[in-house]
Amino acid sequence: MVFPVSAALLDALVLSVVSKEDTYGYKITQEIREAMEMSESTLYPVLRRLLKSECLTSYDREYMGRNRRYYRITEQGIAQLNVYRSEWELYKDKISSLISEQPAEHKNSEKEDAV
Amino acid sequence: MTRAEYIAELESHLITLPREERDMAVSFYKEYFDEAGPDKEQEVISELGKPYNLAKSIIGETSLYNRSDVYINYKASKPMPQNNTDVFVSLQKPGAFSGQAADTAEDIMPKRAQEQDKMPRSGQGQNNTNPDPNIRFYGANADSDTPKQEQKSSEQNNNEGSGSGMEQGMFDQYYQSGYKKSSDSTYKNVPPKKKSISAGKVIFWVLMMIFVILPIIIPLAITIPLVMLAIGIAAAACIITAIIAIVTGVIQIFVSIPTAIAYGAVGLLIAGIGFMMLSAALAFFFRFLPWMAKKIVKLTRRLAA
Repeated sequence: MVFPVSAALLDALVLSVVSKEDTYGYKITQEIREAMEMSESTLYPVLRRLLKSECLTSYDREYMGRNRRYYRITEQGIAQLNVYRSEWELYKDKISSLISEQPAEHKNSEKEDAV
Repeated sequence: MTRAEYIAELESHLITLPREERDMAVSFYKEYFDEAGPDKEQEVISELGKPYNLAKSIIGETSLYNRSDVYINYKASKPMPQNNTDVFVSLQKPGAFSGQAADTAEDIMPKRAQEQDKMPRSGQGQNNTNPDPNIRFYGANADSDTPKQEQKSSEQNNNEGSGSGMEQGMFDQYYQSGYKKSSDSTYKNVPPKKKSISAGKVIFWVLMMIFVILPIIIPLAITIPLVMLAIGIAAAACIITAIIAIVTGVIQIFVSIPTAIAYGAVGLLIAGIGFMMLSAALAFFFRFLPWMAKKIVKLTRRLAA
């Protein structure tokens, strides 16, 4: 991806993936990788940071004779994700209006719809 | 390299971490290998990169987390800064989002306020604005949780009043220091570069030491002051000789005038030479050396910075 990925965006993505269902490290990486390039070494620090800030909790489940650590979003994580989502909407709209081909027309048609 | 070797090497590089941290990181990557399966072992190893670099990214993040703690707790404790415009403005600080200028804060605020009005009934609102049908979290829980959520947000408003000042400061500080850096540069889990002493600089100075400072400057630094010291001693000797010669000359006035003139002339000549050498030596020790020392200190400071 040509655009740099910030720590906040990674946090938001991980929180978003975990908020859908409790899941484990490998699967989180795979899911995020469907959307963008991410090195396999990136996820652990992100998860760690989110655990430390109590946005996520973890628990272990046995799977095929070994341990699998699942991550679950906390109340705090949900709140944080909420902030990220609304920030993302603002950010996305601003960037899109600057970067897309016909921003003015698009806005006008939206207004007409509203009227 | 096999998986076991990789894990062992990773663990050895994490030796500086507390045991708990180290075990957590190692078990995370063990699990990762398990999930990927034995067929993908080499793939995962090449993807993760050298164990040393992976360890560095883990350690770097570990030393950073206190800061991100402040940041996330701050935001999490006030997820909906409804009435607190201070909080919102600080969210819009440059660096919060690299694409947004600081002066947009004011024109976003009304929009933001509208959004906040929707928040308590967040279920539908969220789903409408969110194009991703997979994110059902709020939709699913919204109906049953609505009273609880409202209660929660009112609690949060109370909290905002009390702890705002202090946390605001911490938050700003965080943005200015850690977070801005990591959002400006591509996020690679690299620890922040606090020390700018690079390997190249160190090598440069070592080479300088070996090839320039040791063979040239040090001998010069020893011989030049020695020579100047010798000149100083010679100057003293000259002056003493001159005094003796002049005194002898004065005494010779009563014996033989021509001898007296010769002594006097030689004495004055030697005195002149002596004073010249003395002033050179004094200038060297009391003017040139302090100046030189200052220059060297300045130069090393500039190179080290």
